Amino acid sequence: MAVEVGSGLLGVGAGLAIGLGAIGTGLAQQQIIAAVFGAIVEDPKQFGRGLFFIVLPETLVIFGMVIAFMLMGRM
Amino acid sequence: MIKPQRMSKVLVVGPKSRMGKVVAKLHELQVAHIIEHKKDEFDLCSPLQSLEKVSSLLVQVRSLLSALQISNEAAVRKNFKLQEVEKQISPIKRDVSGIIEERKKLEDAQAEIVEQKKILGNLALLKVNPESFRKSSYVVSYVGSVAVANVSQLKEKLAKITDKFELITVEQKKVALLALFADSTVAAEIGKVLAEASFTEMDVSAVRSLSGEPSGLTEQLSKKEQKLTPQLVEKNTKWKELAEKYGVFLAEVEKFLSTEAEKGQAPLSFGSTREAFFVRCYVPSSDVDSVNAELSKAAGGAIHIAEEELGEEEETPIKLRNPKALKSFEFFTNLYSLPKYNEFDPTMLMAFTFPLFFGFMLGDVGYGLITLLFFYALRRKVPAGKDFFNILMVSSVSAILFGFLYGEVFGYEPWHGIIIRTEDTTTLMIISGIAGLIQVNFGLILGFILERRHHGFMHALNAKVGWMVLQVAAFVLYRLFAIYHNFFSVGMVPGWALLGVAFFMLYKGEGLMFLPETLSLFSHIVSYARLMAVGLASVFIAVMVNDLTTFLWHKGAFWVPLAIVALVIGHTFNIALGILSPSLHSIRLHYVEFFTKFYKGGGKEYVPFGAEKQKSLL
Repeated sequence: MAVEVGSGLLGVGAGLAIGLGAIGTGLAQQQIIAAVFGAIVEDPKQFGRGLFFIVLPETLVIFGMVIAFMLMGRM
Repeated sequence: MIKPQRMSKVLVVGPKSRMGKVVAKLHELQVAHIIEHKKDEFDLCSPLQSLEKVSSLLVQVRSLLSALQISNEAAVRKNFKLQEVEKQISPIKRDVSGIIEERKKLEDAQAEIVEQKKILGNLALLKVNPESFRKSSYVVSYVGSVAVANVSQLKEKLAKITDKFELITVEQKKVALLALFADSTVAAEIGKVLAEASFTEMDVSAVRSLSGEPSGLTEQLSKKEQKLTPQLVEKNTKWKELAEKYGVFLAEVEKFLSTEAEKGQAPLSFGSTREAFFVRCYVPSSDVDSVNAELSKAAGGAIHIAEEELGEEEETPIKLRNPKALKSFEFFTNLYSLPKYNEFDPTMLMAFTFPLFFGFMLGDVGYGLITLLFFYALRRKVPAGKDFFNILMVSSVSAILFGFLYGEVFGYEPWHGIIIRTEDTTTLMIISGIAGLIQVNFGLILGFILERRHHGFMHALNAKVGWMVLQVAAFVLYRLFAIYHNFFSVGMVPGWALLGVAFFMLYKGEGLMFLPETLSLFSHIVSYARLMAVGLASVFIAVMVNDLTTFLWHKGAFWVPLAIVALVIGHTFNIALGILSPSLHSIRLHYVEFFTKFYKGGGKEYVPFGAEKQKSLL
């Protein structure tokens, strides 16, 4: 299966968009999760609120995915 | 769209002689949120006279409840007479403390025997009698353990210090039991050497008073222990009988006394003069007339009641009022923060969009059914989380409906849906974007209504409608660019002009801070792509689990159990994710993307005097 270099690069770009977004999300979540667990140990009632904070940075990977979609559309 | 319950501020003034009656009535009505009086030229009232007696009884009853391990959760409110309670409590107290003391003695004796037997077991291994460890002025003695590796070194070191010592060791795996007797004049050096060898001392004080062969002593102790057990059982039965006999009564009395204590303390929030008291409270406006009438009647007409104006900056307490069917969704409003008195209560909106988003993301008939049953069961098991589970049950139904639309049952496709998620990703993306546009702009409209009321029409127009103009400008620029392919061509002018208008309005409305906010507006709309993303993740995991199962299934009979395991574990995992992800992301879309357009929150909860606190997960 021959793939043109251009669309191949678009594919790589799409992968990078999601992958790097996921790394960013991970880096942010790492600290948030640590803080949230600290809070939960102090007061277990913070569980729900903490869980909500944990998902906040997932926006980053979603933006990455949106970009990936736009790139895929051009392939 | 509704605002929180309208409140009125009521001032009640009356002679102190009627204060008890007024407090009792307020407590009974359960509608008045009392405003604490801060000491100014008027002092605070002193508590009702009954408080002292009530508190002392309350302490006694609570200690009885805890001694008998009775929970008072199920108790109903009942009225008692204080004197009667007092009379009935003292014999109960005598019975209970008697039993508990006797039981404690037996338990202590039992614990001592267990301890002694443990020590004697070790001494038996060392073949040393317990009396050897009695205090002596010539000999120091040690019992304990060291690592086996340290034993020989320890011996050498001891020999260097003195030759008047006896060391007995028994090796047990890596640890050696050790008994050491030595000349007391070199006690300090020996202690040092032992510490260097990481010696762990065993406390033998419990057996020092015993004498004889350890094995014989153990036997005696066992006999003693056997005698104790039935006695302990007997005391325990008696204790349980007491708990059963007095449980309901005590729990009810506790409830009665706590409410009495609450009443007794209420005047501490009242203002007072020498002969009169006054209290301000918030009462729902619809209840004001009936409250006035009831209070006057209770006080025999000897009080004065007046309504006061609510100030603009006043922290009026918030009572949400939503139709009964939507009450559960107040959970989310509480979780974020109650609205301020003049804000909209977003509960109703969330009641509509939360299940919608959740269903859109999970969208699977099979998963929806399972989560529906799961939350139904949980709701019965954990009544405190009733609201939350109600919400999730509604959301599960929504997921089932979307499942029909997508034609998905556990990731399989038994019928052809209107949207096929694994293929029509672009359609999903567009729907998500539209949802974002609608909700964000709806938020802006709500914000506009509130701003107009508080800061005037022009400010509202600039600060809120400016954002909408900005979106239009972006759209026009995008369309024109598709035609001209050059941002600086003349045909692009209408787009740039609109952008200029938007920026001007926003600068007027929000100041320079609008510039970074511009990015966040678009990121908020794009953020709704998660509606598609979370959904896709769920479908693809389901499809993958099914593919893996099919693959294993066709590999031969030997692989069938593995296929079943893969199916069950895979779908369980995906359902767990399917509860967690869609609910959190749906909440997040509301809190972060929607609320920021019109909602600040920070309202104070309405706590009517006398009402029982509801248990909640929060």
